[in-house]
Amino acid sequence: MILFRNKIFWVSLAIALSIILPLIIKKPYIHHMLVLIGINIIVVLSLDMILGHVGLVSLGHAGFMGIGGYTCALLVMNWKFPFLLGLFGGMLTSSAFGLLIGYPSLRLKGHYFVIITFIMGIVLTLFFTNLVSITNGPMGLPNIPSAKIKVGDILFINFNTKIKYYYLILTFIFIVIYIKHRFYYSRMGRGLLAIREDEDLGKSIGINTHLLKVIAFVISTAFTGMAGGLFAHYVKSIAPDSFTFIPSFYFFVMNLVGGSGTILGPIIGSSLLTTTDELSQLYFQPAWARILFGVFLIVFIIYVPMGIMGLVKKLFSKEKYE
Amino acid sequence: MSKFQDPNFFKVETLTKNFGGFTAVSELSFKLPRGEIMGLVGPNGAGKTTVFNLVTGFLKPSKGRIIFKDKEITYLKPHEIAREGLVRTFQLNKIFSSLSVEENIRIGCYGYEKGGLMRFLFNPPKNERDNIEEAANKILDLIGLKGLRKKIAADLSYGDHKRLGIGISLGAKPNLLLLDEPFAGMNPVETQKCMDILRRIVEQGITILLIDHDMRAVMGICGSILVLNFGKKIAEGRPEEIRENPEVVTTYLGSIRVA
Repeated sequence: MILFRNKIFWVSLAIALSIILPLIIKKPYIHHMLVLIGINIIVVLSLDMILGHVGLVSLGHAGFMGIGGYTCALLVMNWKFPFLLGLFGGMLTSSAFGLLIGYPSLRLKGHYFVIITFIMGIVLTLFFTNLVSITNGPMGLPNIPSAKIKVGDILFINFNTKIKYYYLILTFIFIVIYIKHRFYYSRMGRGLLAIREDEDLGKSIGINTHLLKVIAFVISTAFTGMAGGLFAHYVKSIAPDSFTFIPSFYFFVMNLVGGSGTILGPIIGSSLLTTTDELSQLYFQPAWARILFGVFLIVFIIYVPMGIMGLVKKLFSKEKYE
Repeated sequence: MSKFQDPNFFKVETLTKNFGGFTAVSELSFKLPRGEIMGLVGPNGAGKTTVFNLVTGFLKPSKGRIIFKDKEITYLKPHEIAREGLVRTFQLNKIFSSLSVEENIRIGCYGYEKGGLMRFLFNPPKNERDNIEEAANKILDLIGLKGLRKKIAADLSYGDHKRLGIGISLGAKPNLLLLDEPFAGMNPVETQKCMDILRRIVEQGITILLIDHDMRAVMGICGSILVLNFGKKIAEGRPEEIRENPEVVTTYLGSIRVA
């Protein structure tokens, strides 16, 4: 039974499963869902860098996703940037906005920060809708080309099928997971932990708490922007209503349900709620999905405030000590 | 002691803090020589903790200057002051309560770590990590919590809790340690243990300024004592002098003779 306690065993099992899953289940609809889940996982993992590590709730992350998506799509379509460079441009722009918004607002605590990010999310959506000359307004950007990666003459991949795109997303998920993993084991990670536990004590031992929070926010918004770029090149047409307050709120619920401050939590939360959302849109009316989200949120906040991962940890630690 | 070699080790000049119309600290000046333990005493509300908050940058003074190691630190931010080597503990003892004792000290050892992109992306070289481990072990040894290293900090007894707070501050490589009521709520045995730890900290070349109401402990450990009342300095001197000072006796010590 030692095998089941071994972290490496579980991690390799999860990696293997994520690689062969789309090969076993061949339904295109499942592939579509897996890609959407993957994109949400990237966003929620990034969101957790703020929610889980700094302990602040951001309700504007869909806005940053939009910035990344629009920037990436526009760079690729109008400026003929290669896909990866466009994606990088999206990350850069999104993180620049992250810096601009985070620097002043991260001095705020608790509810005030939530309000600022909430308003910023709305302002960004208004930008997407009203800057018609750049974003094409409410019509959105149609005909975004499929993602292509070309390295000289050696490598050329056109990610034009769902299954190929799934593996592209998977690669990026692994990168984000690694960065998230470093949030636990680096000096910055320990500094952030100190901030979450007791900010004044952190300051008193020489931690530049504001700087660390800004850095975490910038990294978080950068990867959210990247997810936006990946989203744009997958759905091939984006419009302002993909990046409103509603998805921001969903990401928050996914993070909460999965368990904040963990790596598995955002993955579980995104998978569970994206599946619920998609299935309910298929089998009931979409409105039901929204209601389900609300119910999920209320149930979790009351009974499992630490999320599914919190519950799992609690069960395991009980086994250890009793 | 090297009392006269380093006149600007720690110097406070005409420090004043007004909260609206209320003057919490008024025209306070004192010097603290390197390697000494100084006690800051006075009745509740005398402004002792405000002095700590002013010195460590948690509050900005209305007037006055604070010199530390030949440098003016009056308007620096708390973390900058801590990095200069002036580290404090808190009256309502602050620790990272949901973490283990070991993790608390490990986070406290922030001053030993180097940052940078490469150290964010990959583990730092082994010798660096070993140095931090060693520093953390030394601190655990010093504060006598080595046996409890795996315990969650919130479950510690009160005395251990206080000593853990001191341990965290030691990780920031202090030259001057400000302790806010290190003996408060301790039983005599714990107080004795804590005094021994403070003596060993001073042996390492760290200077201490402490606030406490346990006059027996303060008189026993401090080389000099400064008495505050209503934000003003009413006496400063060696413990024997303070004990005989009539103003101190009436305002603070009362008629009870202490050790």
